[in-house]
Amino acid sequence: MLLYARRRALTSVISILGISVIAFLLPRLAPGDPALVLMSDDATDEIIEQTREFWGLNKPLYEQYYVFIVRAVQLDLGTSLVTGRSTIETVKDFFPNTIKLALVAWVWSVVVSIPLGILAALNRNKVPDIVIRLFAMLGRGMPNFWLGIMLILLFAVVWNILPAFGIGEGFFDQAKHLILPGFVLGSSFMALLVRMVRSEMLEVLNEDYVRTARAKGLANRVVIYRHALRNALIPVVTILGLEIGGLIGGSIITETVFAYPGLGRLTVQSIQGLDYPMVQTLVLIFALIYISASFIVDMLYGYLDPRIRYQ
Amino acid sequence: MMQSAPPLSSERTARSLPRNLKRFLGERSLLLGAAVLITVGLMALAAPLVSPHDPNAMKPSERLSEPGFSPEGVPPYVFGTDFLGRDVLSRIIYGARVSLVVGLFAVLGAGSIGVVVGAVAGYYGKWVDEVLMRLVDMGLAVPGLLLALVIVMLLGAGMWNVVLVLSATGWLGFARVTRGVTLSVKERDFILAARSYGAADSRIITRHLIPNLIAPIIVLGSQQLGVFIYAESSLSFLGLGVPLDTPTWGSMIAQGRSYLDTSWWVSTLPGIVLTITVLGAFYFGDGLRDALDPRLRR
Amino acid sequence: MSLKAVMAGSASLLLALVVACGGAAPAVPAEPVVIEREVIKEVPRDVVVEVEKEVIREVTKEVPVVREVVREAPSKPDLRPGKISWTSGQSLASPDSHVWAVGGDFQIFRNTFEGITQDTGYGTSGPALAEDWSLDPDNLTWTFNLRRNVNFHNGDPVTAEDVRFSILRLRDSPTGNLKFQAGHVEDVIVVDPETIRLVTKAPSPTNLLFIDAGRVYSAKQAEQDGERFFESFIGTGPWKFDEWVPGTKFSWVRNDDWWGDFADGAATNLEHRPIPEPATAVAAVLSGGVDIVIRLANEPAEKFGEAAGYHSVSRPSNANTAFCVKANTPPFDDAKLRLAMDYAIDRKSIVEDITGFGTALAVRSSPDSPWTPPELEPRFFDAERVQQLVSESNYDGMEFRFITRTRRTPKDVEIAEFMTATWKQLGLNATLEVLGDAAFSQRRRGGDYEIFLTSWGLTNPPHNFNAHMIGHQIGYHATHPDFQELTEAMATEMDPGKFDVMVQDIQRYLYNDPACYHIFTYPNLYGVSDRVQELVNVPGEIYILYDQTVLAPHSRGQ
Repeated sequence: MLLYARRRALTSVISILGISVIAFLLPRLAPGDPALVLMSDDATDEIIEQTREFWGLNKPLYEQYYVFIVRAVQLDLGTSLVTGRSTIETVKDFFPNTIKLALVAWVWSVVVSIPLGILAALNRNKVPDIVIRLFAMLGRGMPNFWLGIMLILLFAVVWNILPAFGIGEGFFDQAKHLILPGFVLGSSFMALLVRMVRSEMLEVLNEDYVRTARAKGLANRVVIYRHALRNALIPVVTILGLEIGGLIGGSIITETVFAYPGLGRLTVQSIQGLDYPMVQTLVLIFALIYISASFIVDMLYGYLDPRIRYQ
Repeated sequence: MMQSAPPLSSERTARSLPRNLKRFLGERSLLLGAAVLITVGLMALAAPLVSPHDPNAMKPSERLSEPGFSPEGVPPYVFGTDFLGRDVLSRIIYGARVSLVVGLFAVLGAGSIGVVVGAVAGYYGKWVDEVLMRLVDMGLAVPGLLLALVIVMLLGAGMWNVVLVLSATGWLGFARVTRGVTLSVKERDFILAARSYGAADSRIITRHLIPNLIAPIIVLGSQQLGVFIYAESSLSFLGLGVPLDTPTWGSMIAQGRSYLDTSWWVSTLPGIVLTITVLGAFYFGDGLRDALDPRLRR
Repeated sequence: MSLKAVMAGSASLLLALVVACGGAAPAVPAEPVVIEREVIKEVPRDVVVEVEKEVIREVTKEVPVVREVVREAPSKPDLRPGKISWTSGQSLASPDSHVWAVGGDFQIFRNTFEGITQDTGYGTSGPALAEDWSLDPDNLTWTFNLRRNVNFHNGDPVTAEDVRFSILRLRDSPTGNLKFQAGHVEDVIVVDPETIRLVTKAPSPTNLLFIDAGRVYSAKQAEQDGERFFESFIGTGPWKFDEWVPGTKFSWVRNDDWWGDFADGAATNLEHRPIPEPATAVAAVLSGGVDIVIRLANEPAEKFGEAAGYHSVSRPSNANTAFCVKANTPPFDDAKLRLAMDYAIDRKSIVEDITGFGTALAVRSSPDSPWTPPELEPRFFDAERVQQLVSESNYDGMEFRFITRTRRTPKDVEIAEFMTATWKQLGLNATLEVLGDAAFSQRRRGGDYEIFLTSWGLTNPPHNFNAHMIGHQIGYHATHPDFQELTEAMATEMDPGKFDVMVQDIQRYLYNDPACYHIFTYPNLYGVSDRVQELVNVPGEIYILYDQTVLAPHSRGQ
């Protein structure tokens, strides 16, 4: 187990390093000059040159990367070109909001999709299955931004029962602000989960031991819950962990629609502002979230299922 | 946005395809999905024939006319007009071209990269596998949409850039599936035997590996088609999609959203068509997988 | 066969229909409680202006009962009495008011900080922290008498040292797009704690207009707090900084010690909520989360007009949507092609149909402005003329790169799309790219375009026609010696009458040989909750009405 953990830790570190190179390089491959971003349309060349010097954009690339890595390790990824604030500080402001949103999305999609998936599998190709699959598919097929605006129009403007945007203050107010964006963000994950639970269930229901159990005359419910479900959920659990990363990525659209101050919206703002240090930090942060989530999931999984460790 | 499709319990061979036609026909999702995709495909091909108006012809004085609006002397605007007075239906029909081209080429691009990487990793194993799989890990660690945004930021918008972006973010699933299939094929007795008497790699690849790959790749590919068509609309929403001179579903939905509460059709109708198409692709993929995997058939 | 498809379709359709119908439902005709009033008096330029004070007035109980019932909703989180909130797309980007990286920051700074002067519209300036001023006969030395007994929000008195510190900081800051506004300053001399002497490098008719950007910070506090002192937002303005939650809100409390007078019923708290998605911003007001949404298109404005409990306000502005061509390289180095472009704009359709409001323009100032030569008319769409001019030009069918930016004004993307399509029909090929602000600036500066569309203020000729500006933007007129002569003469002309004549001459020049095309100017539309009884732009008191009026500071509300 320890060996396995070490190996996984090593690959995680390699991934992070690889991504740091990408993060560093990507914005610098852009045509044009970051110094110009800070300037309005009427700045003189002199001002532009001063700006360039001010931000240290004149140094050679490898020096910039060295500085980047050293700073990254010290949790200092520079300051935003647009706001002049530390990027890490900015991420700290936005990070908790995104985590809250992702958790809400995650919880509702799990709570809804597991029973729906089972129901669909048990009624394969019958009406409940068809309806559930359609519902799930809609979650993945409807553009999230469109769904979001529709829900805002309905719940905030027409019925006026939920707030249209932003985050609230205090627990209940915050909870209310999380309902719509949480629903939208979770909808495609829900779709994925329903499909997975359904197909895993179908597969497990066809396994010999389940058939045997059924043949032995065990009550259907017992078979389903004691044998089938437990085995069907193992791969689902993996996805649950990994998809926290996916959800945070999905927050880019949702947070923009709902003016929700999280990492997703920060990402869009920074990309539109060609805010290089900010984009770099965000790429690294997103990758860190994903890599740590998958590391933890793998550890749990390896703990639960010893076969994994030797693969 | 660009998660890989759920794992396939696949590697049923493609050789069984014709023999089991009946099984395919019995799979309703498959038929439904195929019907949707074929309809959209025909619509795209025959766009100049079936669209009632020039998709780019503007009539600002007749902007935001309701569906069914029927001025004298011209065909009625069945789906209404948009904010510049263009026929929404015709734009949807022409938009099918771009959406399908973007989707198909992205699948082709992502598929080629993914299959090559996955096959090489699985077939040669050892450090090759190690390096390539780390690469896949890295790819997975950055949300697809974020990567897409950054790439579009670098390259600028444009139809082929969108294809490139989607390929660059969508190949990971293909690589994983291909590697899995390759590993399992490699372990089979007859392959081990073939290798032991010195059969060429190329022969093993063409005779054994590729036939086994076709089915799972088609399944994944059709699902990814849906994902990519969907993704194009997300990029449009963020202002990074196909430039506005070409009608695409994504840009129609995205641009029309400002009129959602006053002229719902501008954004909603292309939205419905897009949703149906994406669903069609998913249904097709799911149906195909179910048809190919007899274990799921009781 | 496609039962599921039909189901999917009808489900979405149903959703859409509910929204569409429901959205129009609360159409209880609203009593016109709102009195829109023109606030700023028409005044001759460069006379110190007396401004009629108005304010955003709070109504708590005067709302008709019907409305209260309609809008009695559980979710009205922020509507404590006395608080006014407004939303715009951008959140505060740079906390340094001398940097001002993004347009939306302007309102936030204007509410918090003051310069020695302030704009009062159309190139006129009024007193702010300076009570009055005089100009020496050499036309270079200005003496400003500062207002007495003015304190910073932290209680420190404002002194001449602070003013000197702030103006020079603006001039010498390494970054910042407001820097040019102090570029003409040679030195600032402290005469006594209540007097400064400002020396310009050359005669500067625009000094009073530009110097307001030197928003006054406390030099003492800057020394104490170090480099990032501006993050505590301590100014002298009518609104005292309360809280900044990046991406969420920026809020103020009323500064009751302010030197100016608040009108009765003025709000006690002010809040800005950034919402990037326009559809959400509209919904935010219609659901009671925010009081005011700024810069609407005509469709949502109509919706506000119809919805019970809300109204829409239309305010004149000096916003101008325009596009420019790169005139110093082929094919736009050809004067015939450039002229053809002016006839290729369907201004009538744009004004009447696509946007539904506004006035077509001939030059970069509104028709009634003293800077608009009275004989100039906007050129109207003339396909034949275009084709003739194009055939006489050396245009070879090249594909123009046409760039614009996202959501600068309510409908600029639509206008750009419309023009691209119109040009295509006339054989002028263009590929439209809609870019973010930063990418747009980068492309523009890099010369990576043939045509760009933008929105800018109409009435700041000294700024607009300044040879350096034009040189940067188009790189064309600046190379014409006669044009250069005109602009340079204007830049130092201290006689107001002569100044106006010079500006008109420049306008004629630009009209006859265009490189920028001024499409139209339009009012700013606001969606407003009935809680807010009056929404008026009051210089010096409250800045919500973000638009080009306030953005390009030198304007008057007609």
